[in-house]
Amino acid sequence: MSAIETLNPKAEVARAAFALQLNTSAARGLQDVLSSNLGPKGTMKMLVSGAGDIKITKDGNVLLHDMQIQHPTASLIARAATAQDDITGDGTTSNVLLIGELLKQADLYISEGSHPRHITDGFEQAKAESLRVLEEIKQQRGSIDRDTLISVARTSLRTKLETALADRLTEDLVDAVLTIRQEGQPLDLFMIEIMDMQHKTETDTKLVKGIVMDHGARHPDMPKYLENCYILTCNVSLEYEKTEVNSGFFYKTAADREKMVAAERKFIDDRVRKIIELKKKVCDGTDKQFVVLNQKGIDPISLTMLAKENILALRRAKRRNMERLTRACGGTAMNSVEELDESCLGYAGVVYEHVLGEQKFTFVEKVKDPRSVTMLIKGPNNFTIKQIKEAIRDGLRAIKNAVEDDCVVPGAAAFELTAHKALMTFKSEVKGQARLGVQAFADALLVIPKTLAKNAGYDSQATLVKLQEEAQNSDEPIGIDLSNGEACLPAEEGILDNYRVKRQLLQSCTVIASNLLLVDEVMRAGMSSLKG
Amino acid sequence: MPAGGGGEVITLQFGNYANHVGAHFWNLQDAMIDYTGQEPESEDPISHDVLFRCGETPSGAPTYTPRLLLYDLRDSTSALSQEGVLYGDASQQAQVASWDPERVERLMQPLDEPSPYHQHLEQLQTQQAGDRGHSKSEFVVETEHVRSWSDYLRPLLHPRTVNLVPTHCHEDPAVAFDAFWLARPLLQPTAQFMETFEDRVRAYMEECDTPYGFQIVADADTAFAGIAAGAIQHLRDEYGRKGIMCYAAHSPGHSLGYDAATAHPELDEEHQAAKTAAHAQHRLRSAAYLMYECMQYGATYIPLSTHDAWRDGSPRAFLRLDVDYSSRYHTSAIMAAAIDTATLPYRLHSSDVSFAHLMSALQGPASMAGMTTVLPFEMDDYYLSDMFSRLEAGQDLRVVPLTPSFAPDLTPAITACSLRGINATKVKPPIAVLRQRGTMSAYDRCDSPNEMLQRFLGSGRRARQFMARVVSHGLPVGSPFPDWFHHGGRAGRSVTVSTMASLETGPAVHASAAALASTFLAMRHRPYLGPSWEREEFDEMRQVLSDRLLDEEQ
Ligand SMILES: Nc1ncnc2c1ncn2[C@@H]1O[C@H](COP(=O)(O)OP(=O)(O)O)[C@@H](O)[C@H]1O
Ligand SMILES: [Mg+2]
Repeated sequence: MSAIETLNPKAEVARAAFALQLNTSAARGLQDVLSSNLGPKGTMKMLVSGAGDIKITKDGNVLLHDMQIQHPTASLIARAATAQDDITGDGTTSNVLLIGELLKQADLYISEGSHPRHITDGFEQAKAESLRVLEEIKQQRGSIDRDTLISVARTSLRTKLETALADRLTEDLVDAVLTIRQEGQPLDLFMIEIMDMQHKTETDTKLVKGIVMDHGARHPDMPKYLENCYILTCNVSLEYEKTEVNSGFFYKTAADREKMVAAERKFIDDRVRKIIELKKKVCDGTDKQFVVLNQKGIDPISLTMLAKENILALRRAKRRNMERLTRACGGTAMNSVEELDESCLGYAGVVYEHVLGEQKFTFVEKVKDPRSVTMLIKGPNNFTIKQIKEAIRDGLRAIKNAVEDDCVVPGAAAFELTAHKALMTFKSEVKGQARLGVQAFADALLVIPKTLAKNAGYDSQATLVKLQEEAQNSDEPIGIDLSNGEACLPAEEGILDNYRVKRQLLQSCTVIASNLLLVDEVMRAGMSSLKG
Repeated sequence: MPAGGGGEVITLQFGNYANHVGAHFWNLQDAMIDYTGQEPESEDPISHDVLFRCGETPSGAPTYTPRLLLYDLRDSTSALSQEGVLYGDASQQAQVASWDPERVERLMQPLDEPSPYHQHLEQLQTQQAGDRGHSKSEFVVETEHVRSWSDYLRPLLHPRTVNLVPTHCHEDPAVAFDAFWLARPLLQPTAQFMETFEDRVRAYMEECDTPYGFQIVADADTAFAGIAAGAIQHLRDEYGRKGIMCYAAHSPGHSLGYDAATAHPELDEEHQAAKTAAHAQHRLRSAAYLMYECMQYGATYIPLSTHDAWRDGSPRAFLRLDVDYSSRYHTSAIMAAAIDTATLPYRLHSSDVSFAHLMSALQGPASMAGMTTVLPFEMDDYYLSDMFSRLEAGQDLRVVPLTPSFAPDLTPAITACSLRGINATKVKPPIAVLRQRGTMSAYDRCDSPNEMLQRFLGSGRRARQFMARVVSHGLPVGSPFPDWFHHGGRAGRSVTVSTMASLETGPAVHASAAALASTFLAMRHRPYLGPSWEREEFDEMRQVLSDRLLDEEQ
C-alpha cells in the first residue's frame, strides 16, 4: 500500500521524459506490491481496513481495487488487469508483473538513447513471435479429458488455497462442471451455485448434487424434513396485493374497500386451492410428499392453507434458481396454476431444512439426473468464506476455459522460458533498433520464472540459469519445480495453465506497456482517452 | 401480520449525500423506538415494523435493524465497519484457515478513530452498564468534524446493509463519480455488484409477509443516480407492481471532491475550467436521467433540495433554524425530517393507507411529487387553530418547498399532508380567550386537529383531493440531530419539535419537472454520447421528456 502512496505525483507538470519516468516508476511500484503474490508459494494479503473489516486475497485484481490507486498510470494498469480478469478470470498478477518488467527492460535502452518507438516496434514483433510459440506449445487433446481438467483445476486452486483444502476441492469442481455440461451447448457456470454458511466450528466445503437454497419455510407448521417429494417450481403470486389505483381512493367507503379486498383475496385463495388439488391428486394414497418452490411471494394466509395440507412451500426463490431447480429436479417452471398436472412436477428424494441463527437453508437432494449442482462452503468467518468463494470461482473458470479452448499450456513458467528461448533466435532476424525491443520483451518474460522461484525461497538468478540450461537441452518445455527449485516437465507433473490466459496476457501487456512508453504521444491525445 | 397499514417497506440508499439523509432519518426512527420493553407512557402510534426487521445474532440475541441496503464509495464510511458489529464474533477474526499462516502478509490501514459522537455514546454505555437507552444527552455534533454520515449514525446495522462501490472513491481527484453512465459497468447483469444487490433485496423481500414496496433515497446529482435507476429497473422487473418512491436528494454546493487541476495537470487553465463546467453539467444530467427513468418505470420521483432551483439556486429560508446551507450534515437533516413526517400515512398503526395507495395517488403525469415542509411547526404562544390561519395567510409562517423550482402557491391536485407533535391543550383557544378576542376563525370551529388540517388542505390550499394525518408525538430532535432550533428564550435543548410535511402533485410540480427537463434539453450532450450513453437512448429520452413535460405547457 505504501508503495503506491509515495507515487502519487500530485500536480507535477508532466513533460514527456519526466512522464515516462513517472510511468515506469508507477508500474514498478505496482509490480513491487504484487510480486510476492505470484504462484502457489506466494503470500496471501490480509487487508485490514481502518474500521477493522478484514479481507484476505492474493488476487491481483482484488488488491488493485482495494489499494486506493490514485495515480493515473497505476489505475490504467489496474484497468488492464481488470480486463484480463473479465475476459479470462485469471492472470492478473502476471499481468501487472509483466507490464512493470516490460517498462523496466525498455528503460535500459531508452535511457541509453533509443527512441521508444523502436522499442515498441520490437515489442509488437516479439509479441507475434510469442503468440506463435504459444500455438506450438499448447497441448491439443482433441477432447479434453477428466484427468487434464483435474490438473487444470488443481493448478488453479493451489495458487489460491492451502494445498490440503485445494486438493479436497479439485475433483468436486471438475465433477460439478462435468455434471452440468450438456453436449452441444455452451457451458453455463451459473448452473453451479456457490452457497455459503458461516459456521463457528466447521470448515468444510463440498459438492452437493442438488440445490441448496438460502431460505426456508415461513410457517411454523410446515414440515422440516420430507422424503420422496414432488417438486412444483413456479412463478405465481400467492400474495394478496392491494391494487386499488388512484381514482378517488381517498373517498372510498369502508364497505367498498372491504368488498374489493374480499374479491382480491378469493382470487389468490383459488390459486392456492388449485395447487392443493394437484397435491391431493398425486400424493393421496401414496407415500409421496409435495414441495412448492415459488419465485413470487406467498402471504401468511396462503402459507397456512398449504401448511394444513403438509405442503412445504418456499417463497421468493431466486430467479436464477428457477432454471437450476428444473434442471436439477426435472419438471417445468409454471407461470400459472391453470394447467397444472403431474407432468409439470419434478422430483427429489429428500428435501430438508437447516437452521443457523436467523438464517435458514433448504436442501433439495437425491435428485435423479442433476443438471445443476451446488458448491457449499462452510467457514468460520466471512473473509475466509469470501476467499474460498473467489478460489472456487477462479477454479471453475479455469476448467471452463480449458473445455472451451480445447487445449492447455504447460505451467510453472514453461511457456515464458520457451518463448524466451525462441525470441533469442528470432532476434537475429529483426532489423535495426527494434531488435532491442525484442530483447527487452524476451527478458521481461523471465520475470515469471524468477518471481515464482523467489516466492518459493530460491535464489532467482541461480534458478533461472539452471532452468535455462535445462531448457537448452530439452525438446519438451521445461518449468520450475517449486518443491526443490529444480527443472521439471510441468506437463508431466500436471501443472497446466489456460491457453486463453496466456494469449490475453501477451496482447494486453504489450498494448499497455507500449502506450505507457509512447507517453508523449499519448499525452498529446490527452490522458483521458486512455482512461476509457 | 403487523397491525395498521400493515406491510413492510424496504429502504434503499444510493450515494453519500443520500446516506446523510438516511443517517438522520434512521436516527429519528431509532429515537422513537422503545427498546426498554417497559409500558410506554402513551401508545406509540407508529408501527416501526414497517421499516425495521427482527432478527437474531449467531449467538441467539434478538436484533431490530433497519430493513435497509445502502451504497456508497469505498472510502466513505470512516470508522463504520462494513459488516457491522452486531453479528460479528471477534474471536473468529484473526483465524486464517485457508492459507499457510506463515505466508500471510498483513496490511493494516491506520485505524479510523470512532467519531466524537460515538466516543460519547461509548462513554454513556459504560456509565449505564450496557443500557443503550435514550439518555437525554446534550452532545452537540460539530459540523466541521463530521467526516461522513457514519460519524453520527446511531442505530446498528444488519451485516447485509452496507455495500461499497469498489471502482471509485471520493478522495480520487482524477475520476469523479458524477455522470450517471459511470454506473453502467456495475449494472451489467453479470457484474458481481448487481448480483449482490439482487440477492440482498431478495433476502429482505423473502422475509416480508406483505411487502408494500421500496423507498429509495438517492443522490440526485452523482453517478449514484445511475445506480438508483438501474435498481429501479430491476425492482420493476422482478417485483411487478410493488410501489417505488424515489427521493432524489441534491447535495448542497460543489462538494464532490472533484478538482480539475489535480485531475488534469496536463491541461491548461482554460481547459481545466471546461472540465469543471462539464462536471457541473454531469450533475444535472444525472438528475434528469433519474427523473426520466422514474417516469419510464413508474416510480414516484420526489426531488429534494434546500436550494430553490435546479442549478445555481439560492437557499430556501428556514426562518427558525440556524442552518449552514453548505453543510451536508445540516441540509440533509431537513430532508430527513420531512421524509419522516410525510411518510407517516403508511407507517401508522391506525392507518388504512398503504404505501402503494399513497404512491399511486401521487403518480401524476410527470410521475413526480413535490415535497413541502414546515420545520419546525413552532406554536410559540399560539393555538393550533391560530397556526392554520397564519399558514393560510402565509405571512410570517410559510410552507417551505423542498423541491427545486417549485412554488406551491398553485393549487395542488392531490396532497398527502401530515402533522406531528400536537399538544392536546393547545388545539384551540378556550372559550374565555375566544370571548376576549371577539372573533372566531373557521379553524376555531373545527373539532379536532385532523379536521383543521383537512380544512387547511381543502379550503386553504384548495387541493382537489387530500389526505390528512395528525400524530400527537413530536419529532425527536435530540443529539445527534443538529442543535439549531431557536429555543424561544427557553433554556436547554428541545427534545421534540412539531413538524408538518406534505407530498403533492399538481401544476406546480409539473412546472418544476418541466424546468429540469428544459434545462437538460438545452445542454449540449453530443460530446458525451458514445458507447456508454448511446445516441438512441438519448433521443428517446429527449422525446419522452419533451412529450410528457414540455408540450403541455403551450
Ligand atoms: N505448482 C506450480 N508450480 C509452479 N508454478 C505454478 C504452479 N502452479 C501455478 N504456477 C504458476 O503460477 C502462475 C500463476 O500464479 P497466480 O498466483 O495464479 O497469478 P495470476 O494472478 O497471474 O494468475 C502461473 O504462471 C502458473 O504457471
Ligand atoms: Mg491465477
